[in-house]
Amino acid sequence: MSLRVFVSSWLFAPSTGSADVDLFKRLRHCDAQFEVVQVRGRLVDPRLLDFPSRARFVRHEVDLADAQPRSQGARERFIEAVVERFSPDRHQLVLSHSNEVPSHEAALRVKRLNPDVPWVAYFGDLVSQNPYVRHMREYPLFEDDCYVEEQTLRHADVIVCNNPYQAALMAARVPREVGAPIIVIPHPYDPRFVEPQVRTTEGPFTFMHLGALYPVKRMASPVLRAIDLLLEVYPALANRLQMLFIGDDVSDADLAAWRRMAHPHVVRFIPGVSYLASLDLMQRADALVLIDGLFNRHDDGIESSPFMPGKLADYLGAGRRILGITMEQGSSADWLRAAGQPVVSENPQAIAFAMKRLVEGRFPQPRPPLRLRAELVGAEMELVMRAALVGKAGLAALPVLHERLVRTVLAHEATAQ
Amino acid sequence: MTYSVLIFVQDSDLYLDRALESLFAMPPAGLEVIAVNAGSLDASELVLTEWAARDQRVRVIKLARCSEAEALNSAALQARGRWVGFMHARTSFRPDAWQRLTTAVDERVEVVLTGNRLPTGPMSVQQAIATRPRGWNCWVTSAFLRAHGLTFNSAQLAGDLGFPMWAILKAAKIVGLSPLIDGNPAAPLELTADELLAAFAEFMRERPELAGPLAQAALHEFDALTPPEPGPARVRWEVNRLRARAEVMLLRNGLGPWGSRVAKAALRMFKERSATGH
Repeated sequence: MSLRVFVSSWLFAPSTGSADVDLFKRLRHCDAQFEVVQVRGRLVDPRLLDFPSRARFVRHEVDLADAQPRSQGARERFIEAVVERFSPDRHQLVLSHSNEVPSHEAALRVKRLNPDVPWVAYFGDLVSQNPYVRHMREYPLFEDDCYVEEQTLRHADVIVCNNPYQAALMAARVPREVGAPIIVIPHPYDPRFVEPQVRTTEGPFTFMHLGALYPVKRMASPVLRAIDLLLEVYPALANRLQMLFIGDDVSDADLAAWRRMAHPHVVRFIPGVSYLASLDLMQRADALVLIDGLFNRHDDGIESSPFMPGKLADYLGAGRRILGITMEQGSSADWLRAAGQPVVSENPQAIAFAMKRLVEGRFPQPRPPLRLRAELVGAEMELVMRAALVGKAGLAALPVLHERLVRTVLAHEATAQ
Repeated sequence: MTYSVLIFVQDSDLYLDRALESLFAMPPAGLEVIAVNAGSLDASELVLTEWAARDQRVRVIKLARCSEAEALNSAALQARGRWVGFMHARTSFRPDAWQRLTTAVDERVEVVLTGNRLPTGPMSVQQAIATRPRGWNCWVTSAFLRAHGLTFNSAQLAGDLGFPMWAILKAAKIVGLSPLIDGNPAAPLELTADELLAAFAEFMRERPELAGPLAQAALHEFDALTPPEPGPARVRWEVNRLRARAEVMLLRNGLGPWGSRVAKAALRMFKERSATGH
């Protein structure tokens, strides 16, 4: 029997940001009807909802003039809309999404009003332990977010994270005896969103980065320095490669670094595109470039990256070579190494060397991993929700059942290969 | 085997293809390349392994992390070529280098000295010393290397000053060439004045008849020393350099035992000038 799930998610499709699409990709292969309360997005792509999916979505968009989650007024209006829409007669359980945190706060209120309704809370990112926060000049309501995170970890019936490094940090956030069980279900790619294309060998070798960069910690500048170094040592490559950054909000520092380059013509900054358009563009790259936040113990108190970017799943799904500029330890490094792709730090020489090897075809073209297909991730999400419905016994059995589900699928993949 | 090129490799993965491709562009017969991987932390070992697998002329020596001097000394013991040359992995051989080198060598030449200010062709040791020693490189015959027990005596002097200087002081026939190599990753001359003085004092003991030119070269080299940041340490450093200069001048003039007296006088003069701002 199909599940009847109530979803509290500030960001959701057809809004086209990475976080908007994240939860949608996870759910569309579930056998469920989802009633979603979300904020009306400014940038939308209705085509996202046109793809056939097993799940059915009934969406209610809250129209907030000041549609940003750092405003107390906007939060309250969203939370009210969520609480108003929930009905224990129509909904078997509540699912909430940390993007944005008020989604969890709304679910917390629903739970307090309806203690018997199971609550599954998905965290796309860390909240209180997010290492980016200390680099932001202003981040209103951060303390409120931290409180909501802690309460969610205590009162949700089960937590879903997208990588084990994140899960370990979140598990340490509250005492083990009061914390909800945590299940790791990675970001998926959905092969139905894009037609695979064969990359022709004409034209320069194209490196492509898609998505947002930040003024700190996740910047284009190391790549720009690497390109200049590479072309200084191997000038013959100048007409044989190009680097495209596709995304909005290029920082002043990155633009200044580009202007200082000895070979600026090799690099182009192109305005951002919709999510579906980005998947299409990925197919046209020779190598995709992942730039993660590069943190360290000295500045940020962490030695491994707690992030798995949604973009990485889409990159792997594209079946293109990937240059990973990320922390030595972390989810991105694990996935890339498993796919035989280079993992480097922000050291320009290391980046330049990896770029050279990619141009020379020294890394294998990765096969899109079955582990990250949306159909499997959807099955995992559905398993979590059904286990929550069963109750304590279901949740106690969940880790074993989850592990068995994944192992069965991967064993099938190994046999098929 | 005619030519052995010893390459110091440390964290140079990006540069290795360029270095090795430059050596193998129109090489002479009988070339071997000995790459010493001195504890690289990057992918240098991978690149060298690939090269050695596809080209028998490339041999790889793997050492724990060490200085350039230690690495090249280790490689020199294994050189099989009649001529031995030295290179850093971050440099590259010039396109015309092999043609110029093979033209320059003959049976009697023991050292080929390369540098920016060198005239091309046979030269006397006085002529060689008269050019600025910094930025020299050299090729020596393996027989010459072993006969004189030449080694790189410190990381700072390896391939940069000390080794070529020893080579020309001991050689019977020297040929000069403009540089064979592009790029100079040598670190700034971070010796103290006393270390530089000690090196040149040794050179002068080896060839006392060349004390004059050697002292003049040493005086030039004092200018190349890397001073500390401005401050009290800088003043002490300058005074020390002045003292060392004074001793070199006395050595040059054959007045070694008088060195300390003159140095003290020079020091007094410097302090007086510093106090008055002159």
